[in-house]
Amino acid sequence: MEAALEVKDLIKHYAVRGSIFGSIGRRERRVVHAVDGISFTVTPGEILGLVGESGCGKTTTGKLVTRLEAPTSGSIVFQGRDIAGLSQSQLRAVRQDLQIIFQDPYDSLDPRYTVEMAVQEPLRAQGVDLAERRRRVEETLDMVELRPARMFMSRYPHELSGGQRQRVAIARAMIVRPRFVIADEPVSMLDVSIRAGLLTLMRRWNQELGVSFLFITHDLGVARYMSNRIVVMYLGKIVETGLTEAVIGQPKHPYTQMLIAAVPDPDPRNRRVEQELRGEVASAIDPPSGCRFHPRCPIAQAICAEQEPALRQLRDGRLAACHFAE
Amino acid sequence: MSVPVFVADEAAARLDDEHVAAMEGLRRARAVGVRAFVARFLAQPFAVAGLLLLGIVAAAAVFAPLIAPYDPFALNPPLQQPGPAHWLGTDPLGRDVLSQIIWGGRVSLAFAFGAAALSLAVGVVMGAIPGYLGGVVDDVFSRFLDTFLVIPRLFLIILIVALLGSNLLFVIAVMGLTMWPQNAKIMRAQVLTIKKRGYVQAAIAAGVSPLPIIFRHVIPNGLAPVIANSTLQMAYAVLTEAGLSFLGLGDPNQTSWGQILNAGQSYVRSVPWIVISPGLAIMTLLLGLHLVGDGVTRVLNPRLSLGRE
Amino acid sequence: MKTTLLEVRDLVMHFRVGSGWVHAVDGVSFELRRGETMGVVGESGSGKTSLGYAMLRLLPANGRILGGSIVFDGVDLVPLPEEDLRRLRWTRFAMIFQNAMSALNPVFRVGDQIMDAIRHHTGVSRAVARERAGALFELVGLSRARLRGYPHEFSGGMKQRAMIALALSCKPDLVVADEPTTALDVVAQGQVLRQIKDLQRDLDLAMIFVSHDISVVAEICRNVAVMYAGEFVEYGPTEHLLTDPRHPYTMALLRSFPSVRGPLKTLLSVPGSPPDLVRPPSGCRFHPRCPFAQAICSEVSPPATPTFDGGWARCHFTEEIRRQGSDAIEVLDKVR
Repeated sequence: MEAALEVKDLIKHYAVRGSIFGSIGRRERRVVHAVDGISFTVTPGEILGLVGESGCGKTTTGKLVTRLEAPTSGSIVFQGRDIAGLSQSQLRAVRQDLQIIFQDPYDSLDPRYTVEMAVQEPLRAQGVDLAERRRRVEETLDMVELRPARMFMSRYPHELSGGQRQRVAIARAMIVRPRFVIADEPVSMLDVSIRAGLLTLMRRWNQELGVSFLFITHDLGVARYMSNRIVVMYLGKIVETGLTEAVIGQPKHPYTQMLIAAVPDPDPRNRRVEQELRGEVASAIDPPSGCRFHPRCPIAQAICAEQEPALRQLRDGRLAACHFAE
Repeated sequence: MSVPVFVADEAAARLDDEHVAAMEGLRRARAVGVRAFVARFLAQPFAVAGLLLLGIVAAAAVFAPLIAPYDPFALNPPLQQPGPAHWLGTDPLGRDVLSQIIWGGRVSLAFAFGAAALSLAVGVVMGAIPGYLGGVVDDVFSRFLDTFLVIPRLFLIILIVALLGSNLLFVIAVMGLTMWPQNAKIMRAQVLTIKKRGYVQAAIAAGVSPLPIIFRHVIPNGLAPVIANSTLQMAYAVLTEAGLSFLGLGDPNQTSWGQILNAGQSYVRSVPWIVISPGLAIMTLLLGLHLVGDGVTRVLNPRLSLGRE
Repeated sequence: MKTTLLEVRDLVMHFRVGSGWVHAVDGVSFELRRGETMGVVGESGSGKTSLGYAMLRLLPANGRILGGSIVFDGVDLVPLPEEDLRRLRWTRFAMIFQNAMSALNPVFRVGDQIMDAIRHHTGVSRAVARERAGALFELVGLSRARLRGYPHEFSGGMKQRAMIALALSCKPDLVVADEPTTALDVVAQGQVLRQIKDLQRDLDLAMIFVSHDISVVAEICRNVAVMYAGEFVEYGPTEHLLTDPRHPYTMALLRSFPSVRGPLKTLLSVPGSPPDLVRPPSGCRFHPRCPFAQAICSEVSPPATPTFDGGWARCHFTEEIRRQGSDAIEVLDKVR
């Protein structure tokens, strides 16, 4: 079966301007290795979780896949077509099948747009006529449980709660009936008590309409709840990927292990096992040699500083980038 | 430096802004739209006073044919003292000063609104499009703006008027076309932040083309400080017109405050009322424009008026 | 049994906004003993942050304490003159904020800022202050060399540690921490929580830990109070409250948390949104969102019913909830 999305060797480097004093004299180019050669596949109808801490490159990956940013190199094959090098005007044809939901619902809706104006925007860009747009906005708002839809259509974002705003953002992505959605931390700005409703909504959307998701989150609990498979990133690289229950239940890469060990739990019966949490995330400007995690790794050996571990398959079928994983 | 005080202040400030906003369900704090704007503008006494001053000048200008006691060009006995016949006296040619002031308001307001509107329209578009597109276009255009901004504006205007004539509409156009780079700069700065906002990113992802994004999202959300600046430009236009007329470069077919000053300049010592009254008129209009401009700025940037809640 | 350090009784703090008075803290009572840590959990808009500040009488310009008492070590803070209060602040009780980035001044060295705070409050010499700042840095797991660093050279986790060091600089008895780990990544959060646990053990520090995250509170607090719409709705020892909650809101909060451990459960969300605190709902303030609500709930404000070990829940149906067990909240899914 053809993949819904296939990303290969994707790289995004940003040049950063150093301080004014630094740039006088030596013309040294400092480069942020935001995403540094990642490959993954999303199968049709699947929710792939992309997790990692801030600065690991997960949000950049989302922006590259939706082509809000241009990759430095690599390919992004969507519907049999490499979209990595397309221009913005060429991309417009692809956009209706590839939508994105952003993290901050206070930022992603224009304060001057009513709900109706915001939700119908993608249809308007496609040249759908007004009556049809109205009808579909109403139908879509009903699907995201903003009922009665007519009442919500004339509201402004500031008249809505955070959860309602994020539902509007979801409706805007849904209205063009995309086949693929990138959700970039869609619930992290919302109160815990209302997150479940949105997560359930997106899961239902996935199950009933077969829409594939790339679900980006820093919250491993949310990733576990949402995704079938999971990709764990650290400093622009994939360190581990496999079935969610396997990766979260028995992490094999030392970084994944550290990440999961650090997650607190409200149920005292699920108290986390005390494990040493060492060091800080290194800079993506000058990432460590060899395995990027080696300065913090509890099982690092000499080889780890010298040779970068390949992402290799382990016995249970998952992939991990560690010299000593099994 | 006092850390503890700083920290405590921070706590109070946090409570002030974020918490009040959260508590009120973000209703009021993020309220946008014309009605919220008007309500907050009218809550400021100085701004309302400014609006009143503007209103008086505007009403006088609009109803000039009805309220002016004389034709402003009619010749009466010259240099009369203010009295029951001529409330503000007459000028050296015998024209009634009060009538000239009432009619002259039209020219001042035409300058204020005409030049500022032209400057606003051109500035917004010329700031938004290169700023949004970025890259080489933006770099080149920014240098052009910088160059334009260092040209001494008044000198340029005087030069153009002296060379090409002083027809009213022409001078207004020249004013507008020399003032816009300031607006363009402000708009460009706005655009640079707005184009990174989520709703612009979302519009791009929705497949909307650049021009509709610029006109539907970027400009409406970035317009506020440009409008605030426009009120200041209106004041500048009024002042420039008065200056040009005072120097004798005004349109001879129109009565204006600057021309009254020009007519009265050789009599400043002996017959001061001829210059005092147009001076006061100019001051009134400028004060009104500044107060309104200040009020608009405060509404658009609530941080300036924090703590008055 | 340790002695009581802080006793808050019927504290009422409202603040004025355009449309009226926000009932941010409305009759909150609790007791905190020396060396103990209490967690306050609630959603945004529950009044938890306001409570944190009100306890130390750090009020915004439009805030008023309208009633109740805050007895700290035998002294009621409510009627205390601002001058006396200022002397207590920092030396007897201190605060840690969520956003450490803005609390540190970017143009001064972090060490100098801490030394200045120490000298401002204790009047010791520079040398003594420097020594103490160094010791504090080591205490929170930062090297002494870091004293010479500027805030931008610190990562989020390091800044938050520096803030903790700053809060501890005058050896306070009580620290109020407002979402101190919310801005941090999970590993950095784990590190800071570890640090706080060590400090609790070593310094015999009393703490009030305000957070929206029930799992973080579970890690380090002995007792937990659940706050909703300006009131405490349930209070009790952490293990009991989080395994056998007796208030529907607590139950719902727990069932909305996606865990990485244990069996995968369906997540439930609380329908509706937090109420407008300018006009809080009548009776039990949770009743408009409560799946168990009966007629009485909208009329009578429920009294605190004892649960276990000094804990209590303010719900008319705690007994029924006890009988049915915490999975009773599954009805949330059914009502939909």
